[in-house]
Amino acid sequence: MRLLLSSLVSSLALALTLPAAALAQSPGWSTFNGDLAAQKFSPLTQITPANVKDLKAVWSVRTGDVSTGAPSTFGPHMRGLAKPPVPTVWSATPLFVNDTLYLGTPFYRIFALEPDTGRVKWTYDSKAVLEALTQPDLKNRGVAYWQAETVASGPCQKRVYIGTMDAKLHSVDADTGKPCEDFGRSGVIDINQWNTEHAKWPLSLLQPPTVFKDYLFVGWAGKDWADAVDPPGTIFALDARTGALRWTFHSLPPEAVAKSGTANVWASMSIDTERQILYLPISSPSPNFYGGDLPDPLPVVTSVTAVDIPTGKMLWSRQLVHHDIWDLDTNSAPTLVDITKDGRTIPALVQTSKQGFLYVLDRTTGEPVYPIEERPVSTAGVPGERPSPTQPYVAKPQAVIDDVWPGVYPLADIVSFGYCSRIARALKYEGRFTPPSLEGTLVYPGTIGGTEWGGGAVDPKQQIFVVNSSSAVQIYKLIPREEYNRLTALPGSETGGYFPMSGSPYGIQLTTFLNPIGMPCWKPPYGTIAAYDLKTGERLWNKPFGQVQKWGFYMPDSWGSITIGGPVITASGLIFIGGSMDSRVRALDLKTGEELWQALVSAPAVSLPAIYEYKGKQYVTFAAGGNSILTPRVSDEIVTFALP
Amino acid sequence: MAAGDNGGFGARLIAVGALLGLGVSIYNFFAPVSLFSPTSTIAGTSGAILVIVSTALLLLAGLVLASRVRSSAIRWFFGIAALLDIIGTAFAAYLLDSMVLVALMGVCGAGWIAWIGAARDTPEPATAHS
Repeated sequence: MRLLLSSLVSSLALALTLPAAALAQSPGWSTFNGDLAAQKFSPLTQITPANVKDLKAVWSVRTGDVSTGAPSTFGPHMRGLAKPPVPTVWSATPLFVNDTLYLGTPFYRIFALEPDTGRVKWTYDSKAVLEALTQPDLKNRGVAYWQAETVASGPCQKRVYIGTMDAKLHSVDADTGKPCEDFGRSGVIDINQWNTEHAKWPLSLLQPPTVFKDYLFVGWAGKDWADAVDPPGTIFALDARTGALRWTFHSLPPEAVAKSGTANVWASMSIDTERQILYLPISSPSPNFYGGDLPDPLPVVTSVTAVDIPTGKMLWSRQLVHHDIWDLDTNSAPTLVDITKDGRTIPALVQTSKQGFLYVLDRTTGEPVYPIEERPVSTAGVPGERPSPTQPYVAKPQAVIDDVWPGVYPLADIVSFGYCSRIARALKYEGRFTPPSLEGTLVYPGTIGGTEWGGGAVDPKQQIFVVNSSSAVQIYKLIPREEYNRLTALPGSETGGYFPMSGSPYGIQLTTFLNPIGMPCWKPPYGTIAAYDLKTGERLWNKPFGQVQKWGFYMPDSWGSITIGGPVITASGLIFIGGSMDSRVRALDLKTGEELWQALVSAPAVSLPAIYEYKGKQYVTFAAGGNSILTPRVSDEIVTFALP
Repeated sequence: MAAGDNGGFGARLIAVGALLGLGVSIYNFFAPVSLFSPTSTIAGTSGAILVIVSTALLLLAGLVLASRVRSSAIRWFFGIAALLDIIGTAFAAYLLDSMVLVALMGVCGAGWIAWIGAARDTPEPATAHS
């Protein structure tokens, strides 16, 4: 409630400083997560559980910025063609603000569209190098928006920002698409100017900056699993008008920088606007699967960390995995919500995770709202490794995935003539947090499991939290350096293969536990969606979500699907979500999880949808971009739905 | 059983159902949305190719059964093959979320029952073995 009041007061204060034109703005979706609290909640109620079945696509636009990896698929805007070509991953949340829909594309262009027709108002081309400099795909999660507290006449009082894989941050006028000359050099800041330690690759800006007042908070993505020592995970706070560096935040202490790197923030961030606190989901350090050479402790890595915005100083940090050797990056912005518990209102946050735990913390102190206990775990690491003897466990709310791996699925075992059970018997598995091993460790949940960067959504009034998750079993096998160096032709992708971790005593083979025909060896469901009552910590419902499609065949609903992307909630009691392998977008009933509506789009909508009202009509927009982790089907389509 | 008897109706039903099924399958292979399944797509998939092939084979079987081929062995071979094809295609169509094709396989199934009914009721002509 305090957050809600704060938002109202802030909105009122902002409104008083804006001219009439700005006051006329409609309810919008102005940030990656809808708002700075990452609630992914829309107050709109025009589309309801009763009428959502009538929802129809009212317009769709193709940006042309798509690649399957084959040269023939590249659009007319392709420049600096990567050799070999790489596919696109498009996970942009559309922003609705300034009566315009803004989108970034994986070719690092900005589209400004009319929200009711999709007509293109303007486009901006960053002319970025289209090569997979860090990530294996051309990837973009959208744009950010800023406007002056008092909008004066003249250009660049409202701006849109887009980052590129080659570490350039562009600032353009939100009304015209022209570069803002006062930002950096002719509208562009090179973030790589601050990439001064172990600069093996550029600090890729795939996630849009987080904007608050006149600050831009910039995290970055890198190239995981390749080296032991990487650029350290620094967060940059920039001036939104000029791009000048205000402060930096370092997740690694100086003594760790010589032996490690990353522990960066590659996902979105959230902000308590009243308290001026920035919340950082901080990833794991390099090398990702061996920590024997790391100085311990490194308390800020694989954590959620609160930073004072005016000063850049850390207020508190809670580590979610000690001595992380599973690449369990904290990977989404924590959702900020006030919880009423035992008659008390607690300013809380909910942090989702790859490990499937939901960490509910007091966001002013970092202390748990529901208990987090240290439990003993396996310490049987490879020679040189020093696994943590305990790890934080969350008993309540119940984790989004089971505590033990689901076991071999008989159908997958039968069709592979016992392959799955043979492999499972040979793997090391001593429960959660079993260290990577030389013989191969069954890891559940693995680095692609639990909840991904979409995080969860909350209805702040009912204090119901909704989150989708994936149940994925992976195999981590460390390979001694000499043996690894003898291997040749080592393919690697975003989800599996061989990765050198050069500079550490081991390379790693990382595979998803599939049988020879590509069927998961573990029992379904592979994906679920669940709702929790944050007042009690109880799970209200949990259902398989999405549908697997392989070679065109749709697998049973009860299997669910691995999902990428997240849900959004409306005040009318609906959940909108894409994310499933089957390229369908869906609306669910918040009360029951029942599917009320679905529509087909041209590729999996691996993004957060945006919900907005324009000229009295409510719209729901999905970017259907696809992700090669799910399926080779990629697209450049943005689709908007509304009632007739 | 000879061509022109009641088995011919069943065989022709199989052929018509398979022909329509082939058309639906080809449409589904190329169209971005499957026919009468607005929330499904199998465009360009190997599953779509599979049912194109299976409906084409079923069409062939239906035409053979409806033809004047007199060899009992050949007719029974194609009869059994048609049944397996109908069952397999219907199951594949179900998984491909192509309910039109499932329905057409139902038509083919009815044709097959009519064909087998006629085959059991019709005395074998003496010339069949000559």
